[in-house]
Amino acid sequence: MEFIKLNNVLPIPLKDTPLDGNLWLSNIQFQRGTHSLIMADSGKGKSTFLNIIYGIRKDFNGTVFFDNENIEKISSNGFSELRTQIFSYLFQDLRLFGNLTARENILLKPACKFTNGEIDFYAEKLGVAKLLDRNCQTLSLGQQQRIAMLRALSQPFQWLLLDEPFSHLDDKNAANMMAFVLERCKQENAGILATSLGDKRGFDNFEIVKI
Amino acid sequence: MIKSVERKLLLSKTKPAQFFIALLGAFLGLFIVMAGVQVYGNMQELLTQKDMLGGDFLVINKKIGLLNTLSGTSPGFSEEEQHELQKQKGIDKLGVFTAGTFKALMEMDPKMADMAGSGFKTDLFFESVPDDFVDIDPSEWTWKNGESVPIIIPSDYIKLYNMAFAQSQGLPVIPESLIKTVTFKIRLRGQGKEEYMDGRIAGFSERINSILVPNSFLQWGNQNYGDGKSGKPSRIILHCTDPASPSIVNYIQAQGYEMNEEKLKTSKMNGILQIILTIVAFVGGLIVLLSLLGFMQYNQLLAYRSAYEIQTLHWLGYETFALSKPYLKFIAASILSTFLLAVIVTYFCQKWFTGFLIAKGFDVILPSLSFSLFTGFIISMAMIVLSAFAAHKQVLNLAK
Repeated sequence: MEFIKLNNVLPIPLKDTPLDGNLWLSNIQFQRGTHSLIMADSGKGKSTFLNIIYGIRKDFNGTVFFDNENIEKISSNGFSELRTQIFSYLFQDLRLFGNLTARENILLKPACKFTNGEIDFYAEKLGVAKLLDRNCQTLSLGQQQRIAMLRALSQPFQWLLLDEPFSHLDDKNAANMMAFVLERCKQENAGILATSLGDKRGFDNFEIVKI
Repeated sequence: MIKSVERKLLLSKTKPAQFFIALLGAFLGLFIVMAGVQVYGNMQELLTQKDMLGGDFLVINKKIGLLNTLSGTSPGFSEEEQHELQKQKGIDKLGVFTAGTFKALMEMDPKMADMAGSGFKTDLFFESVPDDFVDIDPSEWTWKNGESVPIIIPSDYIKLYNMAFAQSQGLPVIPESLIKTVTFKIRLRGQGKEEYMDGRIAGFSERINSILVPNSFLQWGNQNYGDGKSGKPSRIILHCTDPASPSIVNYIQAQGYEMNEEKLKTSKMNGILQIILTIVAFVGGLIVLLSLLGFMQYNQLLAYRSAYEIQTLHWLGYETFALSKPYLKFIAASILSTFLLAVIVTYFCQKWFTGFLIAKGFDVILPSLSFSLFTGFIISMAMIVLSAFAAHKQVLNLAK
């Protein structure tokens, strides 16, 4: 998928919110391979934007196109397929299963193409190798964030959606993780759509989109 | 999806007590319905025993009054009355009894009488009904001039002979199968002529208190030896879709006709049985329905308790059907094992009942379990389909 286009899109809950950015109610296009950072205060619909692209939220006016296909026409199963091949999403609330081990959480991803060896290798890079066989509920938020990122990067994708990916990480770990993210995106020739509260830390060379 | 993970995420929130109660209801309902169906089949078998005339016949006649005795006529069925009968619901064929108008004498074949040490001789009369009313191999139930005459006699005659006559006279008892091999001589007399021919017993009937011969023989006999009189038929045989049905019996009684007492009792019992079994079926059906609702709700709750897991897995890329599959399997396995348990219990009940009947001296073969199994299977399938549908809908709702 080469383009994601938004035509006059506005989430219905934001109808009465004053907006001055160039994302909502405008025509904007993202190209595969580019890196964009959506910046805004909370409550302006950053997560909503990612959720609309990911097919989780349908409560918006306007039209979203994947290449030239209106996403309203994509079925539930169609989105399931997109989520295993085209999109990978690091959720803001991580969405790990606390009663499963970190490794199980990663292997659970449909279309996970990492072998156990690769999981060990990349976990080592992110500094969580020793935690792989522990239940996720026993991990700190920062550790969980890295496991969730590992899960997101374990599948093939053309677009990576990152919702406040470094919110629980210190600078060193954030830089470390960004290096890994960029490496994987290069491998997959993928675009990145990331969000942040206003902190550009770690997002060097990202095109900024303000809401 | 990895098996253990599937269990941990989607089926981890079972509540054994609720589950057990939901399935206990399903088991009771299934068992009551299946047992009811089986009891109905058993009773049908016990109440309508096999006969040479098949199980679906009624023989009726008019009441004989004093007037008939004085006038010397026997009451017969007019054409209109026959028409009216044929129009009744549940009666699909009507045949009249034709009476022989010639004199007949039956005696044991002299050669066989010598062997047995004694013989017997008796006057008798013949009647016939249309051949297709007789449940016997058609090749055995035909007669051409020169052949031996096949005869159906009431089985009471054999009982009377074996149980009373033979013992008091010191004669050997004869089982039914042996009687069929005995040949008789029949002497016909009338129109100033006399003729001997061979006869043999082709079968027995519990129902018809008469000696039946093939129609062709009777026609021939009436022509050659008969006195030429023929009146309205005094007895009528009816083929019914359900001879024990109370509605036919009611009509017949309302018309003032008489029928075999045994049928009457059967019909009354059948009426009561139908009422009881309808109640049983209703109660069983109600329990099935309630347990189905309980089970459907149980599964919806089970899925609901895993709402986070279902939604997250869907967001990670699982299709909704993959997410409802563990529930569908769980439902199918639960209902099928409940059905299996009900089958086993029904089987042992039937076995016990058969043993009970044999101990009481009944000589019947009860119908197999196939029909009640089929009924139970259909109900189980319906339960699986409905529960699976509800569970899948719930998953669709939660996956959004």
